[in-house]
Amino acid sequence: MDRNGVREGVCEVIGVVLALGPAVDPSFCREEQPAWDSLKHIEIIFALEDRFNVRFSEPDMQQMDSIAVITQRINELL
Amino acid sequence: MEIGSQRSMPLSMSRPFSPAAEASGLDPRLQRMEWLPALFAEQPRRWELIKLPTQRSSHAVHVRVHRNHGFESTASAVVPYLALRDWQPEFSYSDYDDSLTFRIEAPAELDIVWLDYCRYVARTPAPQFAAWLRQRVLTLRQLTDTPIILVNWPEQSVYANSVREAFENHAVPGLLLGSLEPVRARLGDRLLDERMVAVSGTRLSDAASILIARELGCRWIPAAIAPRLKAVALDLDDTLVAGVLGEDGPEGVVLTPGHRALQEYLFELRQSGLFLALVSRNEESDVQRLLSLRDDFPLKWEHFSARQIHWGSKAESLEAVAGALRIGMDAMLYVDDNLGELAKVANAHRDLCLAHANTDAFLTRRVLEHFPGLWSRGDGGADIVRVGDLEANTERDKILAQSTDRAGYLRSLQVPLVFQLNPCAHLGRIHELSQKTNQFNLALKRFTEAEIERRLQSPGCKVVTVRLADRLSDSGIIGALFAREEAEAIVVEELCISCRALGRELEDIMVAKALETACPQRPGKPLLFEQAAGPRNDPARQWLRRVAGEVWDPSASRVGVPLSFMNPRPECSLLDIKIERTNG
Repeated sequence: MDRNGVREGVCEVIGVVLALGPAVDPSFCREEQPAWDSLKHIEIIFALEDRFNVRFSEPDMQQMDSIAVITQRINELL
Repeated sequence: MEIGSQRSMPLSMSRPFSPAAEASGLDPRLQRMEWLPALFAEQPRRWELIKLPTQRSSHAVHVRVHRNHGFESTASAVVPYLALRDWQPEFSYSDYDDSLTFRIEAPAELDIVWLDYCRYVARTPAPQFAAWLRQRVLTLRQLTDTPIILVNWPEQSVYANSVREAFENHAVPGLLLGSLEPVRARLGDRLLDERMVAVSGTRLSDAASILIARELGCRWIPAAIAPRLKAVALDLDDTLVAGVLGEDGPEGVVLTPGHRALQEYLFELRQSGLFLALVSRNEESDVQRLLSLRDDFPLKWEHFSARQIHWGSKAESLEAVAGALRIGMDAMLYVDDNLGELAKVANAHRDLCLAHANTDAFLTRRVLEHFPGLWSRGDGGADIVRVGDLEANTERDKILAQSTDRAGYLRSLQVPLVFQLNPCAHLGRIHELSQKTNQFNLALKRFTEAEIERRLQSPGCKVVTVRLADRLSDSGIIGALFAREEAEAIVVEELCISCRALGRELEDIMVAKALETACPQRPGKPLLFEQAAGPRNDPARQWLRRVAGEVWDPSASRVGVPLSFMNPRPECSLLDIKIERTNG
């Protein structure tokens, strides 16, 4: 999977979990989205691990607050 | 909102609403057929569950969660499972509280006790911990009458076993102890995921959270809040077998390993007291031949308590099945591989549960293993009796047709009737009668186990059970009467008789003798029966109308019955009547 594919997948996961539809803007970040609360953060992490078959570390989980950061971390893990 | 900080915060776990699905006008039950492969995969996956376009279901179920670790990652996965029965959970949470102080701030239909035992392990030996936990659950029992689910943490088996023994030896009314041992056995080292504590507040892994959600949503919550379903009706072609009988013939249809596993599980369901019914578009003689010819089939012709095999509509066939089994349509699950048939049936029967039979019959088996409302907690003695009792009804009808008078009919049946006052040992069965009877349920009070337990212990209340048998079958406990002696009257606050016991015209004797059992020293006090109108309890109300006579008022909440109702009846001499007043 290339970088664009990963970013699209991350957008899809976040869009579905937060009920925003799959066309989420890649500049999307947690700080600007009240819907991205701690409960949804858990679901996003679980869904991303499942979707990309990766395993995040504890620090990763705390730092994953934007599509850009998440995409970069998944690319590193793949 | 941070995990662990909220208290009693109602929280909807509904997933993205699907406007397209709603706009399509498709019955939600049919939309959910597409979910079955994701929900009932051997290990369901979070991403697959999240993608399901769950709509808000129409029946909210308010659940209080008393906890010392995070429940949210499990809660979100419970939603699509409960949606199969159109239930929408609304969870409210306690703080993380190792001491279980139980703040009851909002009404609810259910309480869940959700504890990770790890913080007690270093400080308290297992037996003391189990005794303490039982005391805390008893405290919760005093605070609320709702059902309680205690999820038994499986990590340290000595603690889990001690807890199980503590609650088995001294049952708490209305408590369901959910065992996580099967989840631990399946996942092994993958049960826990210590990374997750910081974000989810629990050590449970994602895989464990999902499997526990399936247990909660498919088994424990339905068993706690609703009566068990009573029947599974099945299509034949490409559902119970691979192939089409009319085209492939009895030797040609295939019993794949999956279909064998499915039939074996259906047989187990029958053994546990569920009716099986066959609804098939075929020639009846062909199906009879198939089921007698194929020795390899676990299911035989006689295992189906009702059969509708013809070329007519399946919607009508299912109505006939419900009539033959004397159950409501809402107590039945229909399984068919043909989505078109399911759509027609759904259109005709809004309350019927539906499941799509997959070409992978192992998946169909898993659907049945988990379909909300099919699971039994293993105390279904009355369910087991029901299957044999219904079969005896055909024979009773023959005897009635051949009898020249009612006395001869009763004599030939050899009926013993046993009345027991406040039989604590039958709390579970009394609860079932209160929850499950529909046709002969006079006041529709639907008591919880805790409410019944309180009446059993209260000196002012009398609970009488009626046990019925005849030479054809033992129907077991088929009736319960709840009475209260007030200063000016004896009040029957609830009267429930199983529909299996109707038709023998013994209702008057049963009620009169139950009242005699409850209040043997009746000083000529008036008799008042409480009543409520429901969608299906007309038989009970018509009975009251008959015995009350002209004073019956359909809108009154209490109806007087003449004292002559209690006069001795000649028919009693034809029955073997026993009255037991010892608590047991």
